[in-house]
Amino acid sequence: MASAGSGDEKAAAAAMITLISSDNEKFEVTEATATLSQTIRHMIEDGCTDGGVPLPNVTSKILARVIEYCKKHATAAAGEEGSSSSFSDAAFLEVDRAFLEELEEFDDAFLEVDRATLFDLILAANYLDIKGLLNLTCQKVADSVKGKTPEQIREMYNIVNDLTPEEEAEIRRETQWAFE
Amino acid sequence: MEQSAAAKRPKPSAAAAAGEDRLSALPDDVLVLILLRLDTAAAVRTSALSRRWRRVWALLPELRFPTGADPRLVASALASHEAAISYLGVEALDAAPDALEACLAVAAGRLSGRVIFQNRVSGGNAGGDGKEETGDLGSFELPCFESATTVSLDLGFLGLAMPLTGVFARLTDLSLRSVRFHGPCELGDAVSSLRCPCLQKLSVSKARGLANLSIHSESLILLSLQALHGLQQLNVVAQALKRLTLGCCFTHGRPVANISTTQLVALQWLDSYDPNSVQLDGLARVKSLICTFNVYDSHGSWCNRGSQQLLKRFQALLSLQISLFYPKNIGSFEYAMEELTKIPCLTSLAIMIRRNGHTFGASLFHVLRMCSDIRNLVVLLIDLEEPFMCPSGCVCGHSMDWNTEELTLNFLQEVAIDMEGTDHQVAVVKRLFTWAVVLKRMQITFHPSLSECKVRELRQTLSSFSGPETRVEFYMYHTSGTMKFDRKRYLLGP
Repeated sequence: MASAGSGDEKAAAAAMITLISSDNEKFEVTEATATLSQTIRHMIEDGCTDGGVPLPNVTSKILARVIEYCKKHATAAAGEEGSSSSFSDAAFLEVDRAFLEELEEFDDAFLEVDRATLFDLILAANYLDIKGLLNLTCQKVADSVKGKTPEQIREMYNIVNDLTPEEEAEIRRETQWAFE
Repeated sequence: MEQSAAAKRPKPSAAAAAGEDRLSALPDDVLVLILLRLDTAAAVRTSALSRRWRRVWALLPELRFPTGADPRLVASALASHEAAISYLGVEALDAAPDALEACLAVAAGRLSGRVIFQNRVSGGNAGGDGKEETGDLGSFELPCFESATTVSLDLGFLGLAMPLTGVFARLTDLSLRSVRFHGPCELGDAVSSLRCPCLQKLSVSKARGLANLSIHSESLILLSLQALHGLQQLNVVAQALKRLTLGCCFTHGRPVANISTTQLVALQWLDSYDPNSVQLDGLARVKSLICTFNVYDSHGSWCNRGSQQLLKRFQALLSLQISLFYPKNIGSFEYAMEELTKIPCLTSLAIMIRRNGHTFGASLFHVLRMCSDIRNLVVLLIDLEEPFMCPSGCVCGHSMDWNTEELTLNFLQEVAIDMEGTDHQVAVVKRLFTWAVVLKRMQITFHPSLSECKVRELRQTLSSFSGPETRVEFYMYHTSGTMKFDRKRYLLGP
């Protein structure tokens, strides 16, 4: 029993990955959490994660948030694999639904951040290639501009209009159908 | 929330970050991801934000134009678009054929994925009863989509000519709906292997102008032909074909068809069948059959005779789905179930009852009597139109053999049945419990129009019919209104 236990520990230890933020902070995460990032998944596959994975584009503040997201969603992914996909089994459906609702609530709460953090998360998700997080954060930006005029969007995101009046008139003319 | 905080912040004195344009600083591919989450018109409007944004929308791989977008504008938008298009969705209203042709011609050059194109006409595309044939709406020639994988066109009965030349080299999926076909190129030539070498799915429905259709395809797996009005002759040579649907094509006159396959596993035949003029080869692997039967019909009608002759071609099937059709007014029709005398050996039987308000115990009993070896049974009640009440004293209730005669279904383990709450339906369920002597599971799904109180009462009654060895589950359909085919249901708690 004892040897089996140490074997398990070894396996668990081997499955831990160290992530190093741009400000040199180290984060220990499970492989299941880390591999939500395709970028890190490829590094693990290539065997270049010994001694930690340096992430020079991600600050510790943002990396902590990213890991929080990955931990939650890694559990979700494991849950999905474990449960049967048989639609006839109502009990499973009930469990899945409760879990999906919880996940949705987590995502909503996760997005309660200031705009600077949101953009940092987008860049981190893009760099680390975490599809779910990238979709989530891009959706937040998309929702914020929905139904807005170009003027409102410019104001909201500090976009400087560097088009000449002639250029702008031309664009409006070309895309008039989209403004109707 | 942080938006209002940002708005409140006085601009000049704010931290440097507040004035920064972080959105425009995102890489193109991320901006594309954001724009993909907007409708295409909103994405195109961002081109007026600044120079940075002018061409971002042109990188979108998916374009969904708003309903009613003028095809000319779609064409000019496509002309200024830059990236390869993996999805193009256009829903035009009363479009002119030349505008459609121009639009599709631009799209054909750019498309590497799917194009879903619909032209709604004020008269409606839905009508299938010939009403839409009023007037010639004009016609155009389809461009050759050399690199598209899926082309789906619903043209509102505009005329369409298939291109005489060109190869649809990557096309796997072609759907043509509400189309009036024009020569000189035959549809069959355009979709056969020489010009559609990868075509796997072909669906043609509500079409005019196809008197002869002749398809020779080595790649075709799924073929669905429905409501090809005026079809006189059909030839299909498709050795890889697995699924074939033929419905309401030979409505006038004798069906003439020559269909040659070897791999067919699923056959849906909702059309007239005459073994003397329909050559249907290679049915050895067919596992599932869908056909239709009129419960009341004029004496010796071709429909029921054809269905019976088709059924006789199979010794055994995994599943049979049979639609039992009741006319609204039985009036002068005769009870025709006696014409159904033999059903192949089955594992699963699904009976779709288009009952039009009539009681169905007798027809259900007639079918079940010939299927004593089934393991699964599904009984769906389908009302495509508004519910119709059958007049009191209607002949549908005259035959009561189902309620008195014995029947033993020795292998039936699972039953799923719809329940609208009539006494007749309750009585049918009661009989099913008696017939199915080894029943393990009974699923009863309630019509959404039933009140909570009525459902409670029904559950009590229906549960009382079951023995301890049977698990009875109750479900409810999600949507109210007419009962459709693709219904979703959910399990009711204990």
